[in-house]
Amino acid sequence: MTLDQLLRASFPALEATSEELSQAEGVYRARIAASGRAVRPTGRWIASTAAVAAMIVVVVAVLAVRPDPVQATLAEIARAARTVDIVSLGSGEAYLTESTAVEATTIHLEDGSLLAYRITERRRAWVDVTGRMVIETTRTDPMFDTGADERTYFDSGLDEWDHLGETQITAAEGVVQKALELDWPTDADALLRFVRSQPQVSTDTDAADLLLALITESPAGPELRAATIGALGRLDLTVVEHGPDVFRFRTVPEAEDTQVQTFTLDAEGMLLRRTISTVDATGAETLTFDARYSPTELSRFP
Amino acid sequence: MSDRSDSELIEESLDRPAAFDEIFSRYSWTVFGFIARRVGRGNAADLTGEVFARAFAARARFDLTRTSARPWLLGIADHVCVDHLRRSGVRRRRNQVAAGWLLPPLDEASRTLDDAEARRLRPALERALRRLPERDRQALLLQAVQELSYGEIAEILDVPVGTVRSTLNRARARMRELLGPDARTLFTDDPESGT
Repeated sequence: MTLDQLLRASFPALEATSEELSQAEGVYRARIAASGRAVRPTGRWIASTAAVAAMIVVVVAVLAVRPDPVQATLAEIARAARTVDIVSLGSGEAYLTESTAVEATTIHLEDGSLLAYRITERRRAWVDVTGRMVIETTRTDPMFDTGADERTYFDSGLDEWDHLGETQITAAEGVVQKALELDWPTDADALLRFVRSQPQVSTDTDAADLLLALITESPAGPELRAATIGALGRLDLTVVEHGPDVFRFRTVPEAEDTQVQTFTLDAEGMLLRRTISTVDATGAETLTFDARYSPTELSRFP
Repeated sequence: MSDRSDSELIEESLDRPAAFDEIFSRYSWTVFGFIARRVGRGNAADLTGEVFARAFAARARFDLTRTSARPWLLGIADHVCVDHLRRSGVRRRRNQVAAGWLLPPLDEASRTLDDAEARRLRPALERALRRLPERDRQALLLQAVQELSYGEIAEILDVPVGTVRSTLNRARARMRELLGPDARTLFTDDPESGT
């Protein structure tokens, strides 16, 4: 047996049944139909020109008296972010960001059952201008819903798998490197167009997810940070908390979204906190990730 | 099915969307297999539908100089697998050995893992895969498990073909190191191992 044969046997091939392909086709057609409904038929617009004209007048009037608070707030933060003085990284230097996250985890146990728990991860991330990244993580304080879950966790050796209490150091790759390779646009509209063209982006929550990755533990300079924040301001968001020093926003889930994100920025666009909650079919939300970030500092690359 | 190339069908679908249906007919089976092998059968049908919906939405950006849509669709499927596991709120499943790759429970894999040696090496294999750098791991799994060509892997990982070749050499050398002397037999007949 070769390594390839072992790997193929470990991930067994599964062939689709005709029912499964029908189901896939149903999803494909439903998604296309859903996106088609979002496009207004030209004929209807022509037939109701007067109604449209009236709507435009109303919309313009509303905008005149009440500017979009999300776009206005984020535009202000983007302006401040663009003028922030940054220290340029020299050889061997890196930006260091420390964070603490509480993360919900679900584990498939070998008997087929699931174990859910939350765990705290303290993290230090160094990233240099080329996008090289080193991450130091320490996981502590697993939290369980029941004593039985806690016993299962330790009896199953999951504390070892989590390296509980140990500090792990890994080299990582991520969206930041990709960002640097791709030379992201530094104009907010162009950046948002580019983000929306990515295959993983269907909704505004997806777009927010990718945009936030650009300013999380990131070497992005003031221009890209400002563009990112400006692009966030063009998404469908709500303002949860409004200054003077801290601003918090929330994505608005669409029908196909399975998660809601919130993010908190300071007045200069530094990311302070980010949360992710899953949303079920009833709209109920469950917090699965809550990370708080310290201000980024200059450091030696480890 | 017609004998028209994928690029011809995709180009036609820009004016006549129904032409894209043949792309679904040609590749839905392949995409399903690609996804099911990575995240299990449970969600594979829905995710396959998702891949084709995303491809349809992005078809104007398909490079019409390419004759086959397969690498493009598998690249989208790769993103869909990663997103699926991330969105399910599970960032560190015990059996997730790479971004978008779930190692099936041993009893599920045992239908094919009937070789005693394979069962013995399973824990070491899991550990070794987790210790590989992400890109090395992705390249190795795409080649060894999905049996993709260098060109297809290059397209999915968005790197030159030469980089894929060197990445795979490095990944195999590292796997040999990580699996240790107990797994030497895995590499004796492996043409990619350089032995």
